[in-house]
Amino acid sequence: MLTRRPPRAPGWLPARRTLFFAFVLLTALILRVTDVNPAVAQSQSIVAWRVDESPDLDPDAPIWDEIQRMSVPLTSQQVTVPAGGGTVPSVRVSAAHHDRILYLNVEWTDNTLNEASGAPEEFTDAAAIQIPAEHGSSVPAVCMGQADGAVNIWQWRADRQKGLDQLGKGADFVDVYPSTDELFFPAQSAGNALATPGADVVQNLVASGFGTLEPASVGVVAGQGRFSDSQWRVVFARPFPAPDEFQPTFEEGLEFDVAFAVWDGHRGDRDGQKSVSSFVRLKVSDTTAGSFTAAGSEGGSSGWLILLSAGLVAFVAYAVVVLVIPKRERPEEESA
Amino acid sequence: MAQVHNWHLGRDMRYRFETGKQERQFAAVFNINRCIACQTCTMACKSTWTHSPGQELMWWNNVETKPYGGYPDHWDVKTLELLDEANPGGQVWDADPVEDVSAPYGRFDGQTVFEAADGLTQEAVGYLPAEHEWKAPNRFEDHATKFPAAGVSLPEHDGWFFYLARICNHCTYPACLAACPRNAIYKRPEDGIVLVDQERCRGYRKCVEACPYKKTMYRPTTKTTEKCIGCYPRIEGKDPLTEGLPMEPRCMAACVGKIRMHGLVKVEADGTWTDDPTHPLYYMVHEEQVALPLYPQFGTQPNIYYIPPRWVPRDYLRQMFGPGVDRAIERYTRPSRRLLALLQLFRASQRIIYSFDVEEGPKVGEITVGGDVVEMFNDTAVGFDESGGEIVRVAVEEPIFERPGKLNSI
Repeated sequence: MLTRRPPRAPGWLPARRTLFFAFVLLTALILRVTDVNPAVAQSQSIVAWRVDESPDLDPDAPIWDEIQRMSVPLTSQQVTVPAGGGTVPSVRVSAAHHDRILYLNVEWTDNTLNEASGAPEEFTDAAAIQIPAEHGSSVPAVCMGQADGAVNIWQWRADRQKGLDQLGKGADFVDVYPSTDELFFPAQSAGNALATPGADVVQNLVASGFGTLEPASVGVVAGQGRFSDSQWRVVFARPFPAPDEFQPTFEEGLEFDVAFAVWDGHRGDRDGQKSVSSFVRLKVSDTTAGSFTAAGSEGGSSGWLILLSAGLVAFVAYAVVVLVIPKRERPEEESA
Repeated sequence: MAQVHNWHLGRDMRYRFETGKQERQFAAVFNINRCIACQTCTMACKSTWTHSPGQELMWWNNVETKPYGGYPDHWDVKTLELLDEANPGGQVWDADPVEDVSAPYGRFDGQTVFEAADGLTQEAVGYLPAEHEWKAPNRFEDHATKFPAAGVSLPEHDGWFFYLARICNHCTYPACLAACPRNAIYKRPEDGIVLVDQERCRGYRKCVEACPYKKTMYRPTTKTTEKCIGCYPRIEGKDPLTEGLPMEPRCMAACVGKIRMHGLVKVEADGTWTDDPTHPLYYMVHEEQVALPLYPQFGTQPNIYYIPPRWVPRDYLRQMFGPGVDRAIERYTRPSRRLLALLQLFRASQRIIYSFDVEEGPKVGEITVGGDVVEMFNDTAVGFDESGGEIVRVAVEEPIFERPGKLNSI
């Protein structure tokens, strides 16, 4: 037989109510500040919808306003030397495909624009997408692939988009350069793609473990970034068919693992010093955009969703506090 | 992570890689007492390797005035400071050393750049100099600590400065190599020259950060790091001048002050030098112990050795060259007959000397050094190539020729 709940001590209810509201407000505040969205769990997918109109490489194309962005949390890289990063808490990703070209729009907050790498201490802002070469493989996200599991990495760099500074920073001290042909740029004459002027803004790379990153022998990934209002928005685009076995083939209806990394040049981020995500699922949908647009706005970071989530968490916490704790106290109270 | 032997420190230490099998090691002795800072070495290097766009701030060879000068600014003080912060008060040498071949300077009890690093964000403790720090390579040129009105006298000058000529040390345990996350830096097994693979480098500059001597340099026009290549084509005998025979690097061959002697020493698997007193560098470093490594406490086992300047306060020199300073100065000040003869071979030839001998000559005089009488002999030093062929011979007494009265019409 259920026992009636014992009467609460005077003053208990107002105290707990205050605590409850404080908890709700605090939770909402934390979610807002850290840009973490509990509504987007790791099990959720980024969906690349089919769109009727090409988004091209414009990060601000109208089509992107109609596609839900998913917030993907990033953390500092702590697995290999050099560890670091972690100052960019998340990226917001939306995806689409048109005419068998996959487009990914990656957005993140960065209060400092760094698109030069001319001085020895200057580092560029950059972002990368990592996808296992083999569909459905289980390569760990942070390990740059492994010997039996290559990953394809698309790295966009702000300095490459800006263009190589051909004369260098100290050029004003020099009147005449006696030798300027390729031989005197050893990295260039050795075939280092990074040193080649006019090369692609997005570097198409493959890796099979730490320190093995190499340019892909074939295949071009297009891209373009734009910086405004402390936000970088970068579009990556690649046709569905894989140029070789080290790069994935995209198909409608298939799901892929993708991971994201962001380098904040202002913090000296480069190489392993980066903010990096775990793998999340990318679903290449066979559904045309429009069937979902009623859902409308960005899900990832919209305020109402955060408040809803906060309310949910708070409700559960409240339920625990109200229902579970009094039950534990009950025997003692009954004996009394 | 491996345990390797560092004979400069007289102990084993932690390093990222095992010591590899190496045939010979690029090495040199710089006699600071002779350097006049003419910068001919600097320009020889610049005009050979670093005269193209993006290399404006790059001086693979530089000569700086100590104690204030440095390229980049205060590179050594900054690294010493980082090590002291990591190991406060602990950067000391064993006060009561037991010296032998594997520990000629005793034992260093402090932490190397590798040991002081956290091993997660850095392989070696270091810092990345900013652009302005590379822009004044000869700042503080000829600045003395003070100018005493009464003048100065040996053994230690009251006001002092000295010139420090520097190139890449082609270290036995290079910090740049350990720090490269891409393994784009390698040490050649045939001569120990440390190179950056220009095809693989991605300009992360972890090597620039890690090298305690700051001898890897970023090039903005290629987004890669470049460094002294030890003039390896000359080492390989590819300079047409010597018709296939190994030749000293440009900076060494151009030295006006005759401060430099370059060579390739044989090394053992653990990085120690193979016993060979006929090799001029082995003789100076191990037999006479007049030439010392630059900042051995950094732990990279650098391969450019210096005969310390004999007028400089010893505590400063001990910080820079380790505990062997007093002995080195003593032996340089009162040189043995063999050492005095060998010192004449500096810059006597562009070809690499693999061994030397001294032919004794007559006594030619006496000089007084610190109250002691030192006899002078006109001995002749002879340098040989790898196969034992004579390259050059130089006598202690400089030959004097008197010009005939009517040699020309002037």
